[in-house]
Amino acid sequence: MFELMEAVKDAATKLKRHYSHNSVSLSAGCDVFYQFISSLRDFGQASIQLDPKLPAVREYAQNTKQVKDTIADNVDAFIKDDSVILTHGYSRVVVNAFLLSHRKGRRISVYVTETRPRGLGMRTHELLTKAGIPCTIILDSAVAYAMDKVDMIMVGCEAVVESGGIVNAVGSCQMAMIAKAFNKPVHVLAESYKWTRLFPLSQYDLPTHNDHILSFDLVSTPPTSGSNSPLPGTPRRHHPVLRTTDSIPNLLFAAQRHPPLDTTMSTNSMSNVMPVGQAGRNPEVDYTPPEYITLLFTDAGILTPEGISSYLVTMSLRSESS
Amino acid sequence: MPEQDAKDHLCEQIDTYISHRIVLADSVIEEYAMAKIQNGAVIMTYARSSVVERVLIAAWTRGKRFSVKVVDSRPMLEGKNMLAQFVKVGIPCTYLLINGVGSVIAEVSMVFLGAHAINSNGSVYSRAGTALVAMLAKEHSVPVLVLSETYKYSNNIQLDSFTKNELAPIPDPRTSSRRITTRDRLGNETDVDDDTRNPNLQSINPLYDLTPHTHITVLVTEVGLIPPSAISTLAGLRDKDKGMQLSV
Repeated sequence: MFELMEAVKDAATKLKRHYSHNSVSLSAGCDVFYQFISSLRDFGQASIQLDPKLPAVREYAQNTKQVKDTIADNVDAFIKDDSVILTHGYSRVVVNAFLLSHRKGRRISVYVTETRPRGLGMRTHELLTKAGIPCTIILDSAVAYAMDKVDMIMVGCEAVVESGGIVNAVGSCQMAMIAKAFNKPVHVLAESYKWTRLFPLSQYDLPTHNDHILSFDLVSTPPTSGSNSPLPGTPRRHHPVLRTTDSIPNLLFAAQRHPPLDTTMSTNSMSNVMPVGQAGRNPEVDYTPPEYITLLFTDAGILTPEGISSYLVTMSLRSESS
Repeated sequence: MPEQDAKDHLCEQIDTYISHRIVLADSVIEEYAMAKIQNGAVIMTYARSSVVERVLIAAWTRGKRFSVKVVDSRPMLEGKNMLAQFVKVGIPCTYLLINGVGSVIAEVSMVFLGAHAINSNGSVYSRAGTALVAMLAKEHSVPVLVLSETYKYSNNIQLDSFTKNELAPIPDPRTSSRRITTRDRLGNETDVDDDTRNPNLQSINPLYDLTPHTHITVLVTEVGLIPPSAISTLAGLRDKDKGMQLSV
């Protein structure tokens, strides 16, 4: 049994390393699966008989598909007829929920942000228009402009963290803060395997953050070995990381499907898309603190951010005592 | 059960409690809190907390490099003791009194605070002045970490600092500061804290204050990092301890 656990752990590590951009939700999912497998321990100590456990494992995997439908059912009650909903990026749970409501006969219209740089909003737009739901893509920077026309925000997430906040594609925090300013509810759809025991104190406390993100390029200064000797009284906000050139391979642009809007101007100097070196200094995900979130729709029910953090803490206390 | 056995059993339970809920708990809190300290951080502390002192010294000893701003307040000036410990280990420190916090808060990355008690509504009962520091930090979006073992959790709900507090005598015999004197018009020197001269003047020296849960970012305990909204879940831990009752 121990070998099985080790094998699962190795597989999880390999997966996480391979899919760097989904690392947070992948970590969460792997941790939950690991816990699930360890709960199967009771099936027998002697040999690593996988066969009797396989149906249980398969059922677990199947379950995750049904989870999206459970969530969609819960969400449907909150969508009024003629709602205008704003969403961010591409989330299968969210799209599933919209399609379900549409099938039930509710009239909804959806704004979706472009979600640069990966341009995932386009996928959402494609799926919704195919199903007959009116959908318009808006600029990431037009969220405040559009907010007065919107009835609610509905987003998915990569992970729900212990504070009751979420980690999602970059731009979510912004959207939630603007929604709060306009008093629009922010609803997050999150399957329970996305809940993770992480507690970011700020954006820069996320595991996905590194020194290269939001760093400055001071070409004329020789590179130092990093900020290892802080002086007392140094303002904390001004810690420029001194680098001369960028050499970090840029996966963002490789994945980007969105072409420059004006193809006649797509020479290097006049491109309206940021240069490769700069794009590498940008984050992929951000952290939305719980104070900006109204409700979380999960397969364990509809919870407030405080509710989810209570649930997570209780679960971890229970698992530690057992 | 014979009396001596009962006594032995009780002593054993007490020892176990101390070793699990205090000594071991402190080591676990050290690990959790250290993980949040990044190189180059500027950490603010207030007065003196044994847990905070442990955490920062351990982090420095393990190679993390940061600086500390020790905030202190009269009359107890407990921060001086903690400052001495930090300087001994080599941590670059700044020492200031509480009236200077507003000037330096913009430079601070995070605030580490200790607690005397954690209430079930998430508010923290701690040394007088803590609430001020936490409030300022929150206003400037600086994360406030309260480090506390779970044994300090109380099912109490406290809404303000006044209904339940302790007043220290004036002048406080525990104070490590020199007495501050003033001269009146006749040239007589009197102790600032001596109020026997003037019947219309009453000095009070409250020892504790209450920090509401909205000013706290996270509570670091041996069971993990807990957001203030979920602090009441610690009640479940307390009830487990009731199982440690003596069965005669």
